[in-house]
Amino acid sequence: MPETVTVRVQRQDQRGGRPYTQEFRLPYKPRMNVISVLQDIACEPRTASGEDTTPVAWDCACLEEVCGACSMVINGKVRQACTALVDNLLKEQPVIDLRPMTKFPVIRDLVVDRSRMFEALKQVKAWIPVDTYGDVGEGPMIAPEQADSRYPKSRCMTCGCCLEVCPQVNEHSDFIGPQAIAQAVLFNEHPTGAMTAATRLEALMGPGGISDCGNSQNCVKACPKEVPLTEAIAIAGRATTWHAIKRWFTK
Amino acid sequence: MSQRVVVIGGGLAGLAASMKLAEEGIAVDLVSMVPVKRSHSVCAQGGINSTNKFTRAQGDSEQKHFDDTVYGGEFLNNQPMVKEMAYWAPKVVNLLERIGVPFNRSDEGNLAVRRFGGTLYKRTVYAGASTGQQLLYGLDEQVRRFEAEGRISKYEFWEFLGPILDDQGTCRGAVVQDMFSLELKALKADAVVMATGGCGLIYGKSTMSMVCTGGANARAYKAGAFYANGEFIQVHPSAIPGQDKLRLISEGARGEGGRVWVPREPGDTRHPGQIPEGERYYFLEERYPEYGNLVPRDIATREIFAICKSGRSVDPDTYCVYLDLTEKATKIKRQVLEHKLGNILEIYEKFVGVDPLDEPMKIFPAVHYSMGGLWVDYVKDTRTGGLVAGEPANQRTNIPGLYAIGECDYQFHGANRLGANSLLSCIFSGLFVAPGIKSWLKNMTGTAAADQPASLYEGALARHRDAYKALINSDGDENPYKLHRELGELMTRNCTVVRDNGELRETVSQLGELAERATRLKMTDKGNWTNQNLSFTRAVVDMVDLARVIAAGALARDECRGAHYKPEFEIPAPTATDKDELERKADQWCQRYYKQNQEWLKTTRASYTGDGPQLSYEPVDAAEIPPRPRTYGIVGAEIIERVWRERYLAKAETLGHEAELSASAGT
Amino acid sequence: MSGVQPGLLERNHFLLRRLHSLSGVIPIGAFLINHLLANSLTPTPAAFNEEVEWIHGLPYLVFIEFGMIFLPLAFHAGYGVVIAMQAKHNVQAYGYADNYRFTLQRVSGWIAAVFIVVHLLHFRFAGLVGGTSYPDVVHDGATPYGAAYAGFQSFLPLALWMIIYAIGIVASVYHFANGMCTFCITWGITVGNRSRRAVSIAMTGLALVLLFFGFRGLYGMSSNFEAGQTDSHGLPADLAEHRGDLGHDTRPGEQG
Repeated sequence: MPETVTVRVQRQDQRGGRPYTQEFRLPYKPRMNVISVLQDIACEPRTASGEDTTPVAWDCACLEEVCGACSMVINGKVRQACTALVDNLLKEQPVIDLRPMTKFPVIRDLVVDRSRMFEALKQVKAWIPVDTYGDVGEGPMIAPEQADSRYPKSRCMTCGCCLEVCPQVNEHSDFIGPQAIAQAVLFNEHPTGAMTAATRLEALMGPGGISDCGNSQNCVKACPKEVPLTEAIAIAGRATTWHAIKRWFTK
Repeated sequence: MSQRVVVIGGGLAGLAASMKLAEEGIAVDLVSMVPVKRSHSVCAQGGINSTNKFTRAQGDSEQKHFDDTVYGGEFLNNQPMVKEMAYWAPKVVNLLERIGVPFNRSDEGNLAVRRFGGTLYKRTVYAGASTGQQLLYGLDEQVRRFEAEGRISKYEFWEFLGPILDDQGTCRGAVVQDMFSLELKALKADAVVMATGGCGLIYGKSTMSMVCTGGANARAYKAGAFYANGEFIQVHPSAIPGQDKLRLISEGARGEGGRVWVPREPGDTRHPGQIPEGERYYFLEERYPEYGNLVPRDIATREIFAICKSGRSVDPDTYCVYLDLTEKATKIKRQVLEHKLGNILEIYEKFVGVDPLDEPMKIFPAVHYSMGGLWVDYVKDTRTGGLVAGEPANQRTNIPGLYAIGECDYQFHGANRLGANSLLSCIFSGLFVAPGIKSWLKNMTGTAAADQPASLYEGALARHRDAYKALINSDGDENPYKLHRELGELMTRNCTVVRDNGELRETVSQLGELAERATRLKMTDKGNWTNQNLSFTRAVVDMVDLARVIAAGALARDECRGAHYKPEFEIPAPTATDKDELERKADQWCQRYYKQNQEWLKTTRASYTGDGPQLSYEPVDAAEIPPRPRTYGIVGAEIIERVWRERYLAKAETLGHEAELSASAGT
Repeated sequence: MSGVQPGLLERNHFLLRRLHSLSGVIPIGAFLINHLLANSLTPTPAAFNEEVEWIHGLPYLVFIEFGMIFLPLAFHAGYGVVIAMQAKHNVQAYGYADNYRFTLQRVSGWIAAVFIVVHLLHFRFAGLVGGTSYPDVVHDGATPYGAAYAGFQSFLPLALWMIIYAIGIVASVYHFANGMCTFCITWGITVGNRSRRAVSIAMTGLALVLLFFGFRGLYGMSSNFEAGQTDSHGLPADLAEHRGDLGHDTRPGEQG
């Protein structure tokens, strides 16, 4: 058991500000994760060299890897801060390294602006367009296989890891990213959603859509919830192709 | 001018209300400290209850769901609201099914069901072990649909600072603050809906998310709203410890056959795998043959506490017992369990490093839910015993125009919430509040918020601006984070499972000191950009205020009811070898229980004063299902049940009528 | 591309990407297989000459060449550059095998594109860089083999040419085989993990076969060169006798 934990944090005071690094040294506690490290820094924000500083800003909510808030680049890899246990991180390298995700604008320190992901959900119309919220009876019967196919995609918590690791998502490209594609598939697989499948497919066929995927398949490996992203991309790839052919011949 | 509604909080309740209001054609501003998709509802795991075709075939009905809920809440719930909810439950689930929530399915394509605590029916539908997440996403998607159409405006990463009340005390809007730029805004609204969840962070570490400070609830309370039944805090029997939070292991684990046990011999430190079957004490199954591992949470938690106190804890440092799925894992296939419980198995493995299908989980009780919350009104339908839909008073706080729904209201769950009823109450209250607000807007007398004098909003903005500037510049000697830890430790020690008046008195006075110290907080960040220090420090002050409500309520309530357990006032179980003697003792027991209900079957209502809460009480409407001893078939209690049925049941029917009379007279 | 309106490109974005993906398989991939296979099957100068003569005897050759090879190649390479410029590689942080394959796909694409330009200037369009283009060589009375020999003697030493060709073949084969795997994802053929793995294995096999073909052709050629001598037209002396037999309209099948 080490007595202290040393953490290097990449900080940034403002949107568009210059990043800088600070190091913190904290007493080690059992069962520590990155969240508790940041909590301890917030409690007494003092750098390893003894200078008082401001608490590190970061995003978190549920702390059990279902809300998707606390994604950050930890020891060079994007992951959820809540499930990043200090004991495991110290096995990777002696000083824990925390940085904000690189594919989203930094708001402050480790807080980034992921609104593009929520906008993408609007773009692909990621919802079931029901007629009413009134009491009109049961929903459609759904085979267990179909439910089982949808559930893993529905676990996507909009955390941004898949965009962070995707080489096609960057400032030179408009690629919407794996998350939105998987969500489009999720709704196209529902009997009611399938009725409006075409609009979701069309939303994926413009610049930055499905065809901008470069098939690196990093997304599916980085996804903390094991959302079958490559599978979803393949399904969407097939569906968009058929849709394009059908559209061409019927127009 | 067009009318608007502001909804504070984007969890299940807030989203349900927003989408229903939007469907009704009402413009909605939805305010949330986090992107709504990250609200605490994501943490709900096990499922949502409703009478379904399978249970119906076994004789279940909405009425039984209603009965289970009030029995589970030890009759502290106002029954009209519970009844309405239970009868709505199948409709709520139908809607969720229609909006595409990926519930698990039966072979035939029906919704798959499992059993949860406090019922004998498999009434719970679920989506793996992340049902809350799946329901939240379903509603989030519907809200996004309206957002895309411009019918709902979201204010994400905005914090609620307080309601805006006019001279008549009617709520006319809310002051909110951008958590990045710290800009303040006065949102004009003809109704404000609080959907701000629970307050677990008062206990430092709980199963709740980091936003569940109760800060928003405290701000409404300090603006004059009553806070009701604050002392009823649910401690969930099964969680896993962590430095930052305590992580829930769903009751669904027991619903799928998980068994709770400890070594029969105190101090047995063998590895669980080496303890033979005969030397394991399945204490819940032995003591509650009917409900077994699925007794209500308050009971399971107390049993775990007691068994650990007897030296059988399986962890030297905390009160831990085994929750064992390994037997099931070999019997039915592992895949089936992974399919039904995947999320919690993953959580356990990620945080503890052990596969719970190989080795029993070590679980311990953790603060989980606040049954109490902002007091809300209702209008009873005397014909059905439920509610009158579309009445503006439903879910309304004592401040006209200010509503509360979901966990932040005090209703539905009485003294103890049953598992898988919270998702239901959140969505139900969210959907149900909308038509009431619609009538409120329609029949509003006087001017709409949009036509209120600008001075009303400017005044409110100025007040809040001064307050936050003062806070950000405060340079006291108290560290807010340390103060919060102190608060958490104090509350966890004295205001959770076992409560004692001496300790509570001490707690109340210490909380008074904490409140005083909370006026001298030191800010380590005085900047005006994404100042998380500000938001947290503000919440610490609020948490102390709500903690005082909890502690005062607990101190005042001299009885045992649901999650509120004071051994001093526990009625000892009748024991005697002689049959007549036993009968007599059982009668004494029932008599005491009857008196306890006469005295304490009432809602605690706290109102804010600078010196702490002022308590008053309100009778509970228990007119339809008269209170009865809450034994859950514990071995040895048969006689109590019989004596109560024979001699006290008829009498008990009068217990809950007072509220009914006053409710129909008053509203 | 400057002459095209951006609106048109955007409107046809999906089509362009799909065409890019498809063109890599048909006709380019098919041509690659054919090309490497044919080269490996012509280990002797005579066979080589026969093959080339056959090709050059095809009717409407210019349309076949431009319509089915050069144009698709130009499109695939040109648009490929646009696509490759979008990527921001991160194998250092995320060293997954598939990520390396993604990066290599772009690297191999660059190499193959440059190589193919060199290859074309080396032979088919050698006239553009002061050499003699293939059809002209034959018109001048040289054999295709002789022309190839001449090509490999000019500009650079033979050994360097061989290295360049070896790299070019490896890059092209990798780009094709890995491209087939991603093609199968893009078009939704391999949806599940298992099928992706199977295709991956199959394509590794195909790549090995193609590399075998490619190197065999290369080896055949270089060993002939090293063994042979040159005549005044840059032809190996022992092949001079074949010259007169090779008429433009001769089919390989009619040869003895």
